[in-house]
Amino acid sequence: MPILRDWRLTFDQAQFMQEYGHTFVRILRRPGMPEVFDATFREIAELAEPAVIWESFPVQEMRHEAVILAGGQRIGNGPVTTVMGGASHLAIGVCTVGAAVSDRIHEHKEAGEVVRSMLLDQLGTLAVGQLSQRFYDWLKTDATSRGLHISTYLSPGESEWSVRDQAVIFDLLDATQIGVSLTESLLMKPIKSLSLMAGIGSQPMGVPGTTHCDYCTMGDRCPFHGKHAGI
Amino acid sequence: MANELAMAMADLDEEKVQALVKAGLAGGVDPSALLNECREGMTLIGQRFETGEYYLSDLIMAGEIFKTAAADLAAQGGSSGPTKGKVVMGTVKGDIHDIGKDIVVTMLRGANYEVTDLGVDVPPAKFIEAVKETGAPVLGMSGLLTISFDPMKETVAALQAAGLRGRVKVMIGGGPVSEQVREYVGADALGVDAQAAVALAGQWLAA
Ligand code: B12
Ligand code: SF4
Repeated sequence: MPILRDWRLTFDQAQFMQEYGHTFVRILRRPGMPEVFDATFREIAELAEPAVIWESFPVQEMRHEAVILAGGQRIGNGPVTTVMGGASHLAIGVCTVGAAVSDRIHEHKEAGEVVRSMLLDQLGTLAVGQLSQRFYDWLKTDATSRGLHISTYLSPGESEWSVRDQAVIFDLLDATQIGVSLTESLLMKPIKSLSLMAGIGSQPMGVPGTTHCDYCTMGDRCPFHGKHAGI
Repeated sequence: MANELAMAMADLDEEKVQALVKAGLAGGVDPSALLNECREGMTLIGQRFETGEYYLSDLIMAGEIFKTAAADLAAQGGSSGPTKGKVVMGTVKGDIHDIGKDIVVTMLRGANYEVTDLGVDVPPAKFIEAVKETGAPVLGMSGLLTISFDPMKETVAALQAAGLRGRVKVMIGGGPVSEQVREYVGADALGVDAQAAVALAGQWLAA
Protein backbone atom coordinates (compact mmCIF):
# COMPACT_ATOMS: atom_id res chain seq x y z
CA MET A 1 0.00 0.00 0.00
CA PRO A 2 1.84 3.12 -1.18
CA ILE A 3 2.64 5.85 1.32
CA LEU A 4 3.72 9.24 0.02
CA ARG A 5 5.47 11.62 2.36
CA ASP A 6 7.61 13.74 0.13
CA TRP A 7 5.27 16.71 -0.23
CA ARG A 8 6.57 20.23 -0.19
CA LEU A 9 3.59 22.20 0.95
CA THR A 10 3.93 25.92 0.43
CA PHE A 11 2.89 28.40 3.05
CA ASP A 12 3.23 31.62 1.14
CA GLN A 13 2.18 34.37 3.52
CA ALA A 14 1.93 37.02 0.80
CA GLN A 15 -0.34 34.83 -1.30
CA PHE A 16 -2.41 33.94 1.74
CA MET A 17 -2.88 37.61 2.56
CA GLN A 18 -3.91 38.30 -1.00
CA GLU A 19 -6.62 35.68 -0.76
CA TYR A 20 -7.72 36.04 2.86
CA GLY A 21 -6.18 39.34 4.01
CA HIS A 22 -9.54 41.11 3.92
CA THR A 23 -10.72 38.85 6.76
CA PHE A 24 -7.84 39.95 9.01
CA VAL A 25 -7.67 43.70 8.39
CA ARG A 26 -8.81 44.77 11.85
CA ILE A 27 -7.01 42.15 13.89
CA LEU A 28 -3.74 42.98 12.15
CA ARG A 29 -3.97 46.51 13.49
CA ARG A 30 -3.55 45.17 17.02
CA PRO A 31 -0.07 45.67 18.40
CA GLY A 32 2.00 42.52 18.09
CA MET A 33 -0.38 40.83 15.65
CA PRO A 34 1.81 40.95 12.52
CA GLU A 35 4.46 39.16 14.60
CA VAL A 36 1.91 36.56 15.70
CA PHE A 37 1.02 35.99 12.05
CA ASP A 38 4.67 35.60 11.06
CA ALA A 39 5.27 33.18 13.92
CA THR A 40 2.20 31.10 13.07
CA PHE A 41 3.27 30.80 9.45
CA ARG A 42 6.64 29.53 10.64
CA GLU A 43 4.85 27.19 13.01
CA ILE A 44 2.66 25.54 10.37
CA ALA A 45 5.68 25.03 8.13
CA GLU A 46 7.54 23.37 11.01
CA LEU A 47 4.70 21.27 12.36
CA ALA A 48 2.97 19.99 9.23
CA GLU A 49 3.93 16.41 8.49
CA PRO A 50 2.10 15.73 5.25
CA ALA A 51 1.45 12.10 4.44
CA VAL A 52 -0.85 10.21 2.10
CA ILE A 53 -1.73 6.54 2.07
CA TRP A 54 -3.50 5.31 -1.00
CA GLU A 55 -4.25 2.40 -3.28
CA SER A 56 -5.83 1.81 -6.66
CA PHE A 57 -8.69 -0.71 -6.48
CA PRO A 58 -10.03 -2.50 -9.57
CA VAL A 59 -13.76 -2.06 -10.15
CA GLN A 60 -15.82 -5.18 -10.63
CA GLU A 61 -19.17 -3.60 -11.26
CA MET A 62 -20.56 -0.09 -11.38
CA ARG A 63 -24.14 -0.18 -10.12
CA HIS A 64 -26.45 2.78 -10.00
CA GLU A 65 -26.36 3.00 -6.21
CA ALA A 66 -22.80 1.85 -5.51
CA VAL A 67 -19.52 0.60 -6.91
CA ILE A 68 -18.55 -3.01 -6.27
CA LEU A 69 -14.80 -3.48 -6.05
CA ALA A 70 -13.03 -6.61 -7.24
CA GLY A 71 -12.55 -7.57 -3.58
CA GLY A 72 -16.34 -7.52 -3.10
CA GLN A 73 -16.48 -4.27 -1.08
CA ARG A 74 -19.29 -1.82 -1.83
CA ILE A 75 -18.40 1.83 -1.88
CA GLY A 76 -19.95 5.09 -2.94
CA ASN A 77 -23.52 6.28 -3.18
CA GLY A 78 -24.86 9.75 -3.96
CA PRO A 79 -23.04 11.30 -6.92
CA VAL A 80 -20.21 8.74 -6.99
CA THR A 81 -21.45 6.77 -9.98
CA THR A 82 -22.35 9.96 -11.85
CA VAL A 83 -18.84 11.34 -11.31
CA MET A 84 -16.88 8.10 -11.66
CA GLY A 85 -19.10 6.01 -13.97
CA GLY A 86 -16.93 4.18 -16.51
CA ALA A 87 -13.89 3.94 -14.22
CA SER A 88 -11.91 0.72 -14.30
CA HIS A 89 -10.17 1.56 -11.02
CA LEU A 90 -10.87 3.73 -8.01
CA ALA A 91 -7.93 5.57 -6.45
CA ILE A 92 -8.69 5.96 -2.76
CA GLY A 93 -6.51 7.92 -0.36
CA VAL A 94 -6.30 9.38 3.12
CA CYS A 95 -4.30 12.60 3.51
CA THR A 96 -3.14 14.14 6.78
CA VAL A 97 -0.90 16.92 8.00
CA GLY A 98 -0.33 15.01 11.22
CA ALA A 99 -1.11 15.29 14.90
CA ALA A 100 1.44 17.95 15.84
CA VAL A 101 -0.62 20.70 14.20
CA SER A 102 -3.80 19.75 16.07
CA ASP A 103 -1.93 19.34 19.34
CA ARG A 104 -0.44 22.81 19.02
CA ILE A 105 -3.83 24.37 18.15
CA HIS A 106 -5.15 22.87 21.36
CA GLU A 107 -2.15 24.02 23.39
CA HIS A 108 -2.52 27.60 22.16
CA LYS A 109 -6.19 27.57 23.05
CA GLU A 110 -5.53 26.20 26.52
CA ALA A 111 -2.88 28.88 27.04
CA GLY A 112 -5.39 31.57 26.13
CA GLU A 113 -3.58 32.34 22.85
CA VAL A 114 -6.84 32.42 20.97
CA VAL A 115 -5.65 34.34 17.93
CA ARG A 116 -2.76 32.01 17.39
CA SER A 117 -4.99 29.00 17.89
CA MET A 118 -7.51 30.30 15.35
CA LEU A 119 -4.88 31.14 12.77
CA LEU A 120 -3.05 27.85 13.10
CA ASP A 121 -6.39 26.06 12.82
CA GLN A 122 -7.13 27.86 9.59
CA LEU A 123 -3.64 27.24 8.22
CA GLY A 124 -3.93 23.56 9.17
CA THR A 125 -7.20 23.30 7.27
CA LEU A 126 -5.68 24.98 4.24
CA ALA A 127 -2.63 22.72 4.49
CA VAL A 128 -4.64 19.52 4.34
CA GLY A 129 -6.72 21.02 1.53
CA GLN A 130 -3.54 21.81 -0.35
CA LEU A 131 -2.20 18.31 0.30
CA SER A 132 -5.33 16.64 -1.05
CA GLN A 133 -5.17 18.82 -4.17
CA ARG A 134 -1.48 18.00 -4.66
CA PHE A 135 -2.21 14.31 -4.23
CA TYR A 136 -5.01 14.53 -6.77
CA ASP A 137 -2.73 16.38 -9.23
CA TRP A 138 -0.13 13.67 -8.70
CA LEU A 139 -2.73 10.97 -9.49
CA LYS A 140 -3.73 12.90 -12.58
CA THR A 141 -0.17 13.17 -13.87
CA ASP A 142 0.34 9.48 -13.23
CA ALA A 143 -2.89 8.54 -15.05
CA THR A 144 -2.12 10.83 -17.98
CA SER A 145 1.38 9.39 -18.34
CA ARG A 146 -0.27 5.98 -18.76
CA GLY A 147 -2.73 7.30 -21.34
CA LEU A 148 -5.62 7.16 -18.86
CA HIS A 149 -8.22 9.63 -17.62
CA ILE A 150 -9.16 10.65 -14.09
CA SER A 151 -12.51 11.89 -12.76
CA THR A 152 -12.85 14.73 -10.30
CA TYR A 153 -12.48 13.60 -6.68
CA LEU A 154 -15.09 13.30 -3.99
CA SER A 155 -14.87 12.88 -0.23
CA PRO A 156 -17.47 10.89 1.71
CA GLY A 157 -19.78 13.08 3.75
CA GLU A 158 -19.36 16.22 1.69
CA SER A 159 -22.04 15.37 -0.84
CA GLU A 160 -24.93 12.90 -0.73
CA TRP A 161 -22.18 10.27 -0.62
CA SER A 162 -22.56 9.17 3.00
CA VAL A 163 -19.86 9.80 5.57
CA ARG A 164 -20.54 6.19 6.66
CA ASP A 165 -18.28 5.07 3.82
CA GLN A 166 -15.38 6.34 5.90
CA ALA A 167 -15.61 2.90 7.55
CA VAL A 168 -15.19 1.20 4.15
CA ILE A 169 -12.20 3.38 3.30
CA PHE A 170 -10.54 2.57 6.61
CA ASP A 171 -11.13 -1.14 5.97
CA LEU A 172 -9.46 -0.81 2.58
CA LEU A 173 -6.52 1.31 3.75
CA ASP A 174 -4.44 0.82 6.85
CA ALA A 175 -4.22 4.53 7.60
CA THR A 176 -2.67 3.88 11.00
CA GLN A 177 0.56 3.61 9.00
CA ILE A 178 0.39 7.38 8.57
CA GLY A 179 -0.98 7.89 12.09
CA VAL A 180 -4.64 8.34 11.16
CA SER A 181 -7.43 6.42 12.86
CA LEU A 182 -11.20 6.50 12.65
CA THR A 183 -13.31 7.03 15.75
CA GLU A 184 -16.62 5.29 16.40
CA SER A 185 -18.39 8.39 15.17
CA LEU A 186 -16.39 8.19 11.92
CA LEU A 187 -14.20 11.15 12.69
CA MET A 188 -10.59 10.91 11.59
CA LYS A 189 -7.94 11.67 14.15
CA PRO A 190 -5.88 13.81 13.77
CA ILE A 191 -8.61 16.17 12.69
CA LYS A 192 -6.63 17.84 9.91
CA SER A 193 -7.15 14.85 7.64
CA LEU A 194 -9.18 14.26 4.50
CA SER A 195 -10.17 11.15 2.58
CA LEU A 196 -10.88 11.16 -1.12
CA MET A 197 -11.61 8.99 -4.09
CA ALA A 198 -11.33 9.44 -7.86
CA GLY A 199 -12.10 7.18 -10.81
CA ILE A 200 -9.41 6.12 -13.27
CA GLY A 201 -10.42 4.85 -16.70
CA SER A 202 -9.68 4.78 -20.39
CA GLN A 203 -12.44 7.33 -21.20
CA PRO A 204 -13.25 10.74 -19.70
CA MET A 205 -15.71 10.52 -16.77
CA GLY A 206 -18.29 12.81 -15.19
CA VAL A 207 -19.15 16.37 -16.11
CA PRO A 208 -16.09 18.30 -17.33
CA GLY A 209 -15.09 21.25 -15.20
CA THR A 210 -16.93 20.23 -12.05
CA THR A 211 -15.20 19.81 -8.67
CA HIS A 212 -16.20 18.21 -5.37
CA CYS A 213 -17.68 21.57 -4.29
CA ASP A 214 -20.24 21.31 -7.10
CA TYR A 215 -21.63 18.16 -5.49
CA CYS A 216 -21.43 19.39 -1.90
CA THR A 217 -24.57 19.64 0.19
CA MET A 218 -23.39 22.92 1.75
CA GLY A 219 -23.49 24.65 -1.63
CA ASP A 220 -23.37 28.41 -1.42
CA ARG A 221 -23.86 28.33 2.34
CA CYS A 222 -20.21 27.35 2.66
CA PRO A 223 -17.82 30.30 2.94
CA PHE A 224 -15.01 28.06 1.71
CA HIS A 225 -16.81 27.01 -1.48
CA GLY A 226 -14.18 26.24 -4.07
CA LYS A 227 -11.37 27.25 -1.74
CA HIS A 228 -10.59 24.08 0.19
CA ALA A 229 -7.35 23.64 -1.63
CA GLY A 230 -4.13 25.42 -1.12
CA ILE A 231 -2.65 28.58 0.23
CA MET B 1 -19.63 59.28 26.09
CA ALA B 2 -22.45 56.74 26.46
CA ASN B 3 -22.79 55.56 22.90
CA GLU B 4 -19.21 56.30 22.10
CA LEU B 5 -17.92 53.33 24.10
CA ALA B 6 -20.39 50.88 22.56
CA MET B 7 -19.43 52.18 19.11
CA ALA B 8 -15.70 51.98 19.82
CA MET B 9 -16.23 48.39 20.94
CA ALA B 10 -18.30 47.63 17.86
CA ASP B 11 -15.60 49.19 15.66
CA LEU B 12 -13.00 47.05 17.45
CA ASP B 13 -11.07 50.21 18.25
CA GLU B 14 -9.13 48.78 21.15
CA GLU B 15 -7.22 51.93 22.05
CA LYS B 16 -10.37 53.97 22.10
CA VAL B 17 -12.19 51.41 24.25
CA GLN B 18 -9.36 51.48 26.76
CA ALA B 19 -9.18 55.26 26.73
CA LEU B 20 -12.94 55.66 27.16
CA VAL B 21 -13.04 53.13 30.00
CA LYS B 22 -10.18 54.94 31.70
CA ALA B 23 -11.72 58.37 31.17
CA GLY B 24 -15.12 57.12 32.31
CA LEU B 25 -13.74 55.69 35.53
CA ALA B 26 -11.69 58.82 36.17
CA GLY B 27 -14.80 60.92 35.59
CA GLY B 28 -16.76 58.92 38.14
CA VAL B 29 -19.00 57.06 35.69
CA ASP B 30 -20.49 53.91 37.20
CA PRO B 31 -18.29 50.97 36.10
CA SER B 32 -21.41 48.84 35.67
CA ALA B 33 -22.80 51.32 33.16
CA LEU B 34 -19.53 51.19 31.25
CA LEU B 35 -19.63 47.40 31.24
CA ASN B 36 -23.12 47.43 29.82
CA GLU B 37 -21.91 49.77 27.09
CA CYS B 38 -19.27 47.25 26.17
CA ARG B 39 -21.91 44.52 26.03
CA GLU B 40 -24.00 46.66 23.71
CA GLY B 41 -20.94 46.89 21.49
CA MET B 42 -20.67 43.10 21.49
CA THR B 43 -24.25 42.82 20.29
CA LEU B 44 -23.46 45.16 17.41
CA ILE B 45 -20.40 43.06 16.60
CA GLY B 46 -22.57 39.94 16.38
CA GLN B 47 -24.87 41.76 14.00
CA ARG B 48 -21.97 42.84 11.82
CA PHE B 49 -20.75 39.24 11.67
CA GLU B 50 -24.19 38.12 10.65
CA THR B 51 -24.29 40.57 7.76
CA GLY B 52 -20.86 39.47 6.56
CA GLU B 53 -19.14 42.75 7.45
CA TYR B 54 -17.11 41.04 10.18
CA TYR B 55 -15.16 37.79 10.06
CA LEU B 56 -14.18 35.08 12.49
CA SER B 57 -10.97 36.93 13.38
CA ASP B 58 -13.03 39.99 14.30
CA LEU B 59 -15.14 37.98 16.73
CA ILE B 60 -12.02 36.60 18.33
CA MET B 61 -10.58 40.07 18.63
CA ALA B 62 -13.86 41.34 20.08
CA GLY B 63 -13.72 38.59 22.71
CA GLU B 64 -10.20 39.68 23.66
CA ILE B 65 -10.99 43.39 23.88
CA PHE B 66 -14.11 42.68 25.86
CA LYS B 67 -12.30 40.37 28.25
CA THR B 68 -9.70 43.03 29.08
CA ALA B 69 -12.24 45.83 29.46
CA ALA B 70 -14.54 43.67 31.57
CA ALA B 71 -11.66 42.65 33.85
CA ASP B 72 -10.63 46.31 34.34
CA LEU B 73 -14.20 47.33 35.09
CA ALA B 74 -14.84 44.39 37.40
CA ALA B 75 -11.73 45.39 39.34
CA GLN B 76 -13.40 48.76 39.93
CA GLY B 77 -16.55 47.08 41.17
CA GLY B 78 -18.30 47.01 37.81
CA SER B 79 -20.99 44.44 37.32
CA SER B 80 -23.86 44.16 34.89
CA GLY B 81 -26.05 43.10 37.74
CA PRO B 82 -27.63 39.71 37.51
CA THR B 83 -27.00 37.94 34.21
CA LYS B 84 -29.81 37.61 31.70
CA GLY B 85 -29.97 33.90 32.45
CA LYS B 86 -28.18 30.59 32.23
CA VAL B 87 -27.32 28.60 29.13
CA VAL B 88 -25.62 25.21 28.88
CA MET B 89 -23.60 24.70 25.67
CA GLY B 90 -21.53 21.93 24.17
CA THR B 91 -20.53 20.05 21.03
CA VAL B 92 -22.31 16.71 21.00
CA LYS B 93 -20.87 13.25 21.50
CA GLY B 94 -18.77 11.96 18.64
CA ASP B 95 -17.92 15.43 17.37
CA ILE B 96 -14.91 17.52 18.31
CA HIS B 97 -15.49 20.65 16.21
CA ASP B 98 -15.29 23.60 18.55
CA ILE B 99 -14.73 26.80 16.58
CA GLY B 100 -18.41 27.50 15.94
CA LYS B 101 -19.40 26.49 19.47
CA ASP B 102 -16.71 28.74 20.96
CA ILE B 103 -18.00 31.71 18.98
CA VAL B 104 -21.53 31.08 20.22
CA VAL B 105 -20.25 30.88 23.82
CA THR B 106 -18.25 34.13 23.45
CA MET B 107 -21.20 36.02 21.99
CA LEU B 108 -23.63 34.72 24.63
CA ARG B 109 -21.23 35.69 27.41
CA GLY B 110 -20.72 39.06 25.77
CA ALA B 111 -24.49 39.54 25.83
CA ASN B 112 -24.46 38.82 29.59
CA TYR B 113 -25.63 35.23 29.70
CA GLU B 114 -24.05 32.87 32.18
CA VAL B 115 -22.80 30.05 29.99
CA THR B 116 -21.66 26.64 31.17
CA ASP B 117 -19.41 25.41 28.37
CA LEU B 118 -19.13 21.63 28.49
CA GLY B 119 -16.56 21.47 25.67
CA VAL B 120 -16.62 18.87 22.92
CA ASP B 121 -17.68 15.21 22.61
CA VAL B 122 -20.35 15.73 25.29
CA PRO B 123 -22.57 12.68 25.98
CA PRO B 124 -26.31 13.20 26.67
CA ALA B 125 -25.91 12.34 30.38
CA LYS B 126 -23.41 15.17 30.83
CA PHE B 127 -25.79 17.69 29.25
CA ILE B 128 -28.59 16.52 31.56
CA GLU B 129 -26.34 16.69 34.61
CA ALA B 130 -25.30 20.26 33.77
CA VAL B 131 -28.88 21.37 33.12
CA LYS B 132 -29.91 19.91 36.48
CA GLU B 133 -26.97 21.38 38.36
CA THR B 134 -27.23 24.88 36.92
CA GLY B 135 -30.99 24.98 36.51
CA ALA B 136 -30.38 26.49 33.05
CA PRO B 137 -33.56 26.92 31.04
CA VAL B 138 -31.68 26.91 27.72
CA LEU B 139 -29.54 24.16 26.23
CA GLY B 140 -27.46 24.71 23.08
CA MET B 141 -25.92 21.86 21.11
CA SER B 142 -23.42 22.22 18.32
CA GLY B 143 -22.56 19.58 15.73
CA LEU B 144 -20.91 19.68 12.32
CA LEU B 145 -21.38 16.09 11.28
CA THR B 146 -24.53 14.37 10.07
CA ILE B 147 -23.54 11.71 12.55
CA SER B 148 -24.04 14.36 15.29
CA PHE B 149 -27.77 14.44 14.74
CA ASP B 150 -28.45 11.21 16.64
CA PRO B 151 -26.65 12.31 19.81
CA MET B 152 -28.66 15.56 19.61
CA LYS B 153 -31.86 13.55 19.38
CA GLU B 154 -30.74 11.30 22.24
CA THR B 155 -30.04 14.34 24.40
CA VAL B 156 -33.52 15.73 23.76
CA ALA B 157 -34.96 12.30 24.62
CA ALA B 158 -32.86 12.18 27.79
CA LEU B 159 -34.20 15.61 28.81
CA GLN B 160 -37.68 14.26 28.32
CA ALA B 161 -36.92 11.13 30.33
CA ALA B 162 -35.52 13.26 33.15
CA GLY B 163 -38.74 15.27 33.20
CA LEU B 164 -36.87 18.42 32.17
CA ARG B 165 -38.09 18.91 28.62
CA GLY B 166 -40.98 21.13 29.72
CA ARG B 167 -38.73 23.72 31.32
CA VAL B 168 -35.70 23.59 29.00
CA LYS B 169 -35.63 25.13 25.54
CA VAL B 170 -33.23 23.46 23.13
CA MET B 171 -31.36 25.15 20.30
CA ILE B 172 -29.03 23.45 17.85
CA GLY B 173 -26.53 24.71 15.31
CA GLY B 174 -23.49 23.87 13.18
CA GLY B 175 -22.73 23.92 9.43
CA PRO B 176 -25.03 21.19 8.09
CA VAL B 177 -27.92 21.62 10.55
CA SER B 178 -31.19 22.39 8.80
CA GLU B 179 -34.90 22.69 9.56
CA GLN B 180 -35.38 18.97 8.77
CA VAL B 181 -32.61 18.18 11.24
CA ARG B 182 -34.28 20.34 13.89
CA GLU B 183 -37.48 18.42 13.38
CA TYR B 184 -35.69 15.07 13.49
CA VAL B 185 -33.85 16.00 16.67
CA GLY B 186 -36.92 17.50 18.33
CA ALA B 187 -35.18 20.77 19.19
CA ASP B 188 -37.13 23.99 19.66
CA ALA B 189 -35.04 26.03 17.27
CA LEU B 190 -32.03 26.01 15.02
CA GLY B 191 -29.59 28.89 14.87
CA VAL B 192 -27.56 29.62 11.78
CA ASP B 193 -24.98 31.68 13.63
CA ALA B 194 -23.95 33.05 17.01
CA GLN B 195 -26.22 36.04 16.67
CA ALA B 196 -29.16 33.69 16.23
CA ALA B 197 -28.12 31.94 19.45
CA VAL B 198 -28.16 35.27 21.31
CA ALA B 199 -31.53 36.18 19.81
CA LEU B 200 -33.05 32.82 20.75
CA ALA B 201 -31.76 32.99 24.31
CA GLY B 202 -33.14 36.54 24.54
CA GLN B 203 -36.51 35.47 23.25
CA TRP B 204 -36.78 32.48 25.59
CA LEU B 205 -35.35 34.06 28.71
CA ALA B 206 -37.42 37.20 28.38
CA ALA B 207 -40.59 35.11 28.19
C1 B12 C 1 -13.02 23.47 7.52
C2 B12 C 1 -13.71 22.14 7.34
C3 B12 C 1 -12.94 20.98 7.47
C4 B12 C 1 -11.49 20.98 7.88
C5 B12 C 1 -11.27 20.78 9.38
C6 B12 C 1 -12.13 21.57 10.28
C7 B12 C 1 -11.56 21.67 11.67
N1 B12 C 1 -12.35 21.93 12.62
O1 B12 C 1 -10.41 21.52 11.88
C8 B12 C 1 -10.95 19.74 7.16
C9 B12 C 1 -10.52 20.17 5.78
C10 B12 C 1 -9.82 18.99 7.81
C11 B12 C 1 -12.25 18.91 7.07
C12 B12 C 1 -12.27 17.56 6.90
C13 B12 C 1 -13.43 16.82 6.77
N2 B12 C 1 -14.67 17.31 6.64
CO1 B12 C 1 -15.11 19.15 6.84
N3 B12 C 1 -15.69 20.92 6.83
C14 B12 C 1 -15.10 22.06 7.04
C15 B12 C 1 -16.05 23.22 6.75
C16 B12 C 1 -15.75 23.70 5.34
C17 B12 C 1 -16.03 24.40 7.70
C18 B12 C 1 -16.18 24.10 9.21
C19 B12 C 1 -15.87 25.33 10.00
O2 B12 C 1 -14.80 25.46 10.57
N4 B12 C 1 -16.78 26.29 10.03
C20 B12 C 1 -16.60 27.58 10.69
C21 B12 C 1 -17.45 27.71 11.94
C22 B12 C 1 -17.31 29.11 12.51
O3 B12 C 1 -18.79 27.50 11.56
P1 B12 C 1 -19.77 26.54 12.36
O4 B12 C 1 -19.02 25.53 13.14
O5 B12 C 1 -20.81 26.04 11.43
O6 B12 C 1 -20.45 27.49 13.46
C23 B12 C 1 -21.29 28.59 13.18
C24 B12 C 1 -22.76 28.26 12.99
O7 B12 C 1 -23.02 26.96 12.48
C25 B12 C 1 -23.40 28.48 14.34
N5 B12 C 1 -23.40 27.43 15.34
C26 B12 C 1 -22.50 26.45 15.58
N6 B12 C 1 -22.85 25.73 16.64
C27 B12 C 1 -24.00 26.24 17.11
C28 B12 C 1 -24.80 25.87 18.18
C29 B12 C 1 -25.98 26.58 18.42
C30 B12 C 1 -26.84 26.18 19.56
C31 B12 C 1 -26.37 27.66 17.56
C32 B12 C 1 -27.63 28.35 17.79
C33 B12 C 1 -25.55 28.03 16.49
C34 B12 C 1 -24.39 27.33 16.28
O8 B12 C 1 -22.65 29.56 14.86
C35 B12 C 1 -21.27 29.47 14.44
C36 B12 C 1 -20.75 30.85 14.24
O9 B12 C 1 -21.47 31.56 13.26
C37 B12 C 1 -17.44 22.47 6.86
C38 B12 C 1 -18.51 23.05 5.98
C39 B12 C 1 -19.12 24.29 6.57
N7 B12 C 1 -19.13 25.33 5.80
O10 B12 C 1 -19.54 24.30 7.72
C40 B12 C 1 -17.06 21.04 6.43
C41 B12 C 1 -17.82 19.86 7.02
C42 B12 C 1 -17.94 20.00 8.53
N8 B12 C 1 -16.92 18.75 6.73
C43 B12 C 1 -17.52 17.68 6.36
C44 B12 C 1 -16.88 16.48 6.04
C45 B12 C 1 -17.72 15.38 5.46
C46 B12 C 1 -15.51 16.31 6.24
C47 B12 C 1 -14.74 15.00 6.03
C48 B12 C 1 -15.41 13.75 6.59
C49 B12 C 1 -14.43 14.81 4.53
C50 B12 C 1 -13.61 13.57 4.26
N9 B12 C 1 -14.24 12.53 3.81
O11 B12 C 1 -12.43 13.58 4.46
C51 B12 C 1 -13.42 15.33 6.77
C52 B12 C 1 -13.46 14.80 8.16
C53 B12 C 1 -12.26 15.22 8.96
C54 B12 C 1 -12.05 14.32 10.10
N10 B12 C 1 -11.03 14.59 10.85
O12 B12 C 1 -12.73 13.33 10.28
C55 B12 C 1 -19.03 17.86 6.34
C56 B12 C 1 -19.71 17.16 7.49
C57 B12 C 1 -21.09 16.73 7.15
C58 B12 C 1 -21.36 15.30 7.42
N11 B12 C 1 -21.85 14.66 6.41
O13 B12 C 1 -21.15 14.76 8.46
C59 B12 C 1 -19.15 19.43 6.33
C60 B12 C 1 -20.37 20.02 7.03
C61 B12 C 1 -19.19 19.81 4.85
C62 B12 C 1 -20.38 19.30 4.12
N12 B12 C 1 -20.26 19.19 2.88
O14 B12 C 1 -21.43 18.97 4.58
N13 B12 C 1 -13.34 19.71 7.16
S1 SF4 D 1 -18.55 23.68 -0.53
FE1 SF4 D 1 -17.37 23.92 1.37
S2 SF4 D 1 -17.76 22.06 2.59
FE2 SF4 D 1 -18.43 21.67 0.50
S3 SF4 D 1 -16.71 20.63 -0.47
FE3 SF4 D 1 -16.52 22.82 -0.95
S4 SF4 D 1 -15.24 23.69 0.69
FE4 SF4 D 1 -15.92 21.62 1.40
